[in-house]
Amino acid sequence: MGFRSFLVKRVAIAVIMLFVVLSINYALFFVMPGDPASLFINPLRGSSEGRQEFLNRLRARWGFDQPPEQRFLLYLKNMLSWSFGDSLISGQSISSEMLLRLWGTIELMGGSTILGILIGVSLGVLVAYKRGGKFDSGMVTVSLITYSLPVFWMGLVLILIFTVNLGWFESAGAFPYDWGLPGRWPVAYTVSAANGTQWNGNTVMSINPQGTITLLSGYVSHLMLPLITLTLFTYGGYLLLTRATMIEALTEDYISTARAKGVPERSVIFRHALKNASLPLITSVALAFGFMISGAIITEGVFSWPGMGRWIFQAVTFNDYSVLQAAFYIIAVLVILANIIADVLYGIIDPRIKYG
Amino acid sequence: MESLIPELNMGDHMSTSKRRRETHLIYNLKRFANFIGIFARSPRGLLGLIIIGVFALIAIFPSFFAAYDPVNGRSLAGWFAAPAWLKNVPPQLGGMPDRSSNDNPILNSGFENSTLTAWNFTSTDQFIHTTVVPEGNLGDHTGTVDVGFKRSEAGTAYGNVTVSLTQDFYYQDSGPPFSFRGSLVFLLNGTTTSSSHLETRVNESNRNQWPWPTYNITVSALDVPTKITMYLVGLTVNRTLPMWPLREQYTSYTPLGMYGMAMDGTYVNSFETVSLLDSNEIIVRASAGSWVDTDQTSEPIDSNGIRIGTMISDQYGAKQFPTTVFFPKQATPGWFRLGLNVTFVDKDPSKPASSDVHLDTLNMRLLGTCWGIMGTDHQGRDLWSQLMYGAGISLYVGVLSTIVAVAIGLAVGLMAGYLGRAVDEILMRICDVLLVLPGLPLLIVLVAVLGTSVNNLIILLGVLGWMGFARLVRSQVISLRERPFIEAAKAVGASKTHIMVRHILPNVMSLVYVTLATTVPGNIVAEASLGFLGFTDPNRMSWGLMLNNLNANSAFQNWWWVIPPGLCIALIAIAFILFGYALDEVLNPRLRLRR
Repeated sequence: MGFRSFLVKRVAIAVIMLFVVLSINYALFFVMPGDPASLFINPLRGSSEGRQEFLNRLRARWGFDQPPEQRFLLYLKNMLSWSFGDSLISGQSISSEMLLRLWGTIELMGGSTILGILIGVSLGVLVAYKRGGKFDSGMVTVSLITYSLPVFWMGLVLILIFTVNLGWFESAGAFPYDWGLPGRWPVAYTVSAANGTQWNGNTVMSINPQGTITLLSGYVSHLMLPLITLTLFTYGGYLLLTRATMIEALTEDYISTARAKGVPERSVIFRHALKNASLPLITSVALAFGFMISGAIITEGVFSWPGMGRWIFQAVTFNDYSVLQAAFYIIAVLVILANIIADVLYGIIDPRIKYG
Repeated sequence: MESLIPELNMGDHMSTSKRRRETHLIYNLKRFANFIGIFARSPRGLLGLIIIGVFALIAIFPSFFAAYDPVNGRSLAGWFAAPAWLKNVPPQLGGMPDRSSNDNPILNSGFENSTLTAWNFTSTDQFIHTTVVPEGNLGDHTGTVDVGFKRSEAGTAYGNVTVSLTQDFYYQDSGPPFSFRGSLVFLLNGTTTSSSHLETRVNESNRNQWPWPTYNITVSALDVPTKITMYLVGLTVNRTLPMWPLREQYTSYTPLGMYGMAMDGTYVNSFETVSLLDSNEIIVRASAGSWVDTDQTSEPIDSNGIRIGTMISDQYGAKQFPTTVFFPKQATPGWFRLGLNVTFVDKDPSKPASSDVHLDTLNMRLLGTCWGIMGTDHQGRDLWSQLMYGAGISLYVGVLSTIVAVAIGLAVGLMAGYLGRAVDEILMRICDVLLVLPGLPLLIVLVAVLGTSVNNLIILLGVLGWMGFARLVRSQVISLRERPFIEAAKAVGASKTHIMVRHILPNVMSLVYVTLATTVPGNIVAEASLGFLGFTDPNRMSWGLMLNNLNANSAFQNWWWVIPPGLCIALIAIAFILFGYALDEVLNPRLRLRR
């Protein structure tokens, strides 16, 4: 079976799985008790008929009064067209709300995932190379500890050290609170028309150094703590995994052969051992990027970070099913995609693998 | 194979099976001893085992290690109190000598003696009589004081007639207390001997109840309107702290449920009196609003130094006022005076007048700013007790949910691996689907839906956590399936269930033990994470909930609150990992060569 038919089969399975996930996603929130409409009702005010009337109208607006199969079709349409409909609670379109939060999550999760992989894999290779020594056992112990620590606690301790005691970094939000006030956003650069007020195509962009520094330092001081927290949390897993697979690869016969041939040590480690040891790593890296969009619910909660995780958390607390359905759907799509990509990458890296 | 051998003699069979059981037992004992012998050689595994043992001990007997109720034991000391031992640490090392301790400078006077030795007594008029009623009981102890006013002829009204009771006490700490709490129970024109009507008294522990209970109150009408005032005077600092502002008691007795009062005497929060009496009945119902009107800073800062917190009263004309008065920030050791004024407002000269007030439980409690081993949380609850009680939940949830997960994973892995084909396909696709759904968000949604009870948590963590182990078992089973001994079992006609349970299961059991040990940390952290997010049973204190409280109150600077819960989670998690690795090395001897 060639690569193409493998891909076709893999995609077909993925599509079937996606539909299963879509159905589960629908069923899960369909059977869920707890009525988001009731959140809009003050049970102490108005007459009971009035309240009922209001509830009915709200449900009609959300389409809750339709028969289940109608609702399922509407749900499928919303999901497959990637418009997702409106949030029950805010009334805004979900895709626009999501875009607002996507950047924060990509910034935080993307940064920490890449940092974690870089640190974890490079340290893992180093540790595997020097296995059995003090450096090895020390690094393994440290990464075991950071790996098993609760991530929210690491965040709290970092806040205690760096915000409360040292005052270096900020602990809440993505930028200083007062930037949101009118006229407070730092101006990094200005674009003005040259020679006169009329727009003639010749513009001058002048960088405002003061504003640029303020802008950068404001962002960095807020990003630093959550980034460190998540990186500390993720690198340990990669380190342990890399170490395990690298040690296995380094004891193989072909490594001895390579050394006997006089291949330089660096080349032995990276081209012979790491390349062969990287297969399990690829799966875990691909999955990490797949789940990236779900954000870090806990870390974003600790640092009040405006990302997907906090959005999902708020949706849970307000019974905002439509948001949760959309989020779960997107995550599932990305994870399935990541799995396919990992499978394809397997073949590129390891030519021994036969698709089929 | 036993079933295939024809049995000739029943008794013989019995003895054979008995003997076989004995040899089996001896063999198992030997194996176990051997296992212990190998295990004991791994110091890390032993360390893990010891830590797990200590936490298990704490989890089973938390009350032996902790003296206070972790959830309901409120106001043991001031809120956000520091550990008491920090008082003795030099400030250069982070010590806090300015913290104050709890004190009870005036603890139930009780009035059980016929003479009021501790109290200063002054009266402005001859119509006043003060008697100690040793057998009376309004509060926690027997003994009341009866302050009465009696004018037997009509003709002259005497205006305000005041009795004051005072007692001085010395405050010894260099820092301010978190709050003063005074209490007084009094009864207007009632009898003090019957205490049955005081059963519904609102006490410290049920003050946070909502909705508030409704009381039916009966008092006899008062001839003379009465005011009761309680105050605190700083004698050394020469400042009067009005603990309770003037409260007027007229014939239409208005019970005050709870109210806070600002310095200027304006009401902050008042009680709704549904109906005042024409007959002898009053119904009191609490109005909405929080009961404490204070900001939650560890050291209250008010330029005047005074904040009136709450007042609580209720039943039957007898009232208790636990109240909170914050102190100026710069408190120094010195003398203070607790005083109580009872004023009879004699206004109507046309008829004779009399009124009396029974007083009891006139107490003064100081809540300190340091407490115990680990200080207190935002409600004045003991953090050490919370830490000790939290061990139980963590271990319980962590271990039981792991058992559920491993059991499901084992069953799925065995069936998928051995039965193969359609069963394998279906089970593995279910596994794939579950792996595609985001774990923590799904867990949060399900916990929010199904409720935050501990058992739900165990089941959910188990049901969402079996996939990895099922895959591991499946791959192992697939390789075992082709071994000769399975072939042999098939050849003698063993059923599929028999082969799975008797031949394959024992061969994957080493995986089970190791996975049990190494999965527990993840589930403990997951439980703590849910607790931190607030999805946990609020009536059971867990480490996650402790940190949730901390985060919700932004008390990051209280390192004695931040560090221990996470450290405990980490310790217990690492202990299980060490234990699991040691097990792995013993049970899977091939690994020993590699490390």
